[in-house]
Amino acid sequence: MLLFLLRRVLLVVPVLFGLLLLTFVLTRVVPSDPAAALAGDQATPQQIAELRATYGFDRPLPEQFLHYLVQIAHGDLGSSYFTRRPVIEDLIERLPATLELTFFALLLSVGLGIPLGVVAALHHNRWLDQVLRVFSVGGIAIASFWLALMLQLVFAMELDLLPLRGRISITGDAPPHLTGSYLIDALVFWRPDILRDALEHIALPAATLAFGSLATIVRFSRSGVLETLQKDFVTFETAIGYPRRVIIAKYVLRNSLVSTVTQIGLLFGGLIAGAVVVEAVFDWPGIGGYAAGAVFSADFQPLLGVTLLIGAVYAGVNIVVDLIHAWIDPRVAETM
Amino acid sequence: MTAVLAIRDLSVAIRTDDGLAEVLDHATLEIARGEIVGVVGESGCGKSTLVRSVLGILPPAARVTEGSIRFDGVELTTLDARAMARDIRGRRIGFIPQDPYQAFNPVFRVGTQLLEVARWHGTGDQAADRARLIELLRQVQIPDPEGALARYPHQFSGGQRLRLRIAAAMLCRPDLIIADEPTTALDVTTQKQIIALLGALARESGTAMLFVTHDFGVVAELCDRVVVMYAGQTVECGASSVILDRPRHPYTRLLLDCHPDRAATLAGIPGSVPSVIAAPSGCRFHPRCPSASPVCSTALPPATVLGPDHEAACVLFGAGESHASA
Repeated sequence: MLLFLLRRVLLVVPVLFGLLLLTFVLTRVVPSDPAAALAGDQATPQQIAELRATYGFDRPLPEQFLHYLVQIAHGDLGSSYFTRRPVIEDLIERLPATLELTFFALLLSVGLGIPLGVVAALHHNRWLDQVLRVFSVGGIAIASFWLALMLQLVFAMELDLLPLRGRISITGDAPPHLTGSYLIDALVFWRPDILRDALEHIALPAATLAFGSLATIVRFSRSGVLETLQKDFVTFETAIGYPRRVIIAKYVLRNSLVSTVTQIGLLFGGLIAGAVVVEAVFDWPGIGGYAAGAVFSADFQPLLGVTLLIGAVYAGVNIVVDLIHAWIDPRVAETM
Repeated sequence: MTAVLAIRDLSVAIRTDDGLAEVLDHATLEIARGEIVGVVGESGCGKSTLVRSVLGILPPAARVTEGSIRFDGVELTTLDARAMARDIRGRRIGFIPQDPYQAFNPVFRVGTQLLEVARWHGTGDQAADRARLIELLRQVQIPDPEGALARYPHQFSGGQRLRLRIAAAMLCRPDLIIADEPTTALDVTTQKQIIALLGALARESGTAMLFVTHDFGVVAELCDRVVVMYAGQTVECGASSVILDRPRHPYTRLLLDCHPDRAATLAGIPGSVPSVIAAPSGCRFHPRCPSASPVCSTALPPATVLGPDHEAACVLFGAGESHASA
């Protein structure tokens, strides 16, 4: 098991390398020139060329990439060409907000999705199953920016139940800084007022973000349960006298979770991508807006920094998912 | 002798896309307390349906259309599902499956699974149930019983999984154990050992057993009585020694001729078990029967008493004696 962990962690390195290479090439092949943008509308071609030389944009691409790798190896993610702020500082400031949002959305979709999927399976092809199916197809089909606007309209504007935007009330305090997640920090330092405020703020963006993955989780747990119910051991467990509720809640559930859990790692990638849109609509001060800004201004260093970090988090989440998978299914654990 | 299980004229039909399939056609058998009865027949003869009917785990499309199953005086065909789960399965009827690997839940420890039955049907004293299980595992020759409980099903061999299942079936001291071809997948040596073990355990505890098999060798070693089934009908029954020595029904005789231990040259029965969807009328064996006469296709012959513990359903033995068996 420990060897498995070590192997998986080491495998992350080539994955991140590939990810960086791809992002690097992509940023350079798009027709955008940060030097021209930096120099401004009035700049002469000569001024632009000077800037290009300063940042090394005139060097061959492999050399630039190598240079970037060396820089990363020293733990330096570079600085924004525009704000001059070190990328690492920006990330430390903004990443917790994004992680808080995505993990909260993940928690929501798993916490609701698995029970709903089980219920749907137990009501296979009856009306409750059909209703849930409509919702789960809808969940995948609905564009998140539209859903976000609708939720804002109903819950913030019309009903005035929840705040429209932001991460915390402008008039309120942020909790003392520990993890950067307001929810966790408010819990740790036990500030129920802040916790409530933060929960109210995260509700709508997390619901928007969770809706699509919730649908996936419902579908996977539903089919997982249906598939497990067909297994010989379920018939046998009935035949030797296990009560029906114990068979469902204990013996079927754990088996059916295997396929659902393996989805969670993949879903997390979708959540991060979805966060870009959701953060923009809800004014969530996360990494999404930062990355989008970097793309538009061809600000390479922040872009690569964000990619690297999100790639690392994604890989980490998938390692954890594999561990959970092994914990659920001992046969998997043995192959590790 | 009072019967612990009495199945009379049991007919079960399954709805299929091609029509109604009568998988059991007036099947009849009786098991006395402490008696081991073998049910023999080719694949597709309705042996598993018979087992499922008794346990009340027929597939949703199947339904008992006629007849009765009385277990210790209780009519099981009309017993509601809750009472069946609470009072009968696991508690008074133990079950040993056909494929002990598929029957194990792959993601739970063996101990969790074996003791689950005792949690709902045991003495209520979990420590005592556990101690009894350990003792049973020792009797079925599982090495390191304590350690075995902490392991997972895939970590055992086929023979060991079956031994685990035998111990679990015995755990709550049922009146009847139903075993559905449990040794089919095992090699001959292991099969012999386990049959001997199962027989000894059942006799020692006085548990009656319904043992489904297609192997007359197993019948000879294990069973007091045997019931021969063909295409959902019970064609012959009697004491094992009688049936093995003097089989009367043409199907039983042909089936016994197929057994490698008995036949000098291995015979086969021409044709195969018919589909139960368009089952032959009358005696279902008549299309394959060497002694068939035109009357065989008109009516199911009643069981005829041929000896002290020997009945067969065939027109060869005349209908006149049939009332004696009713």
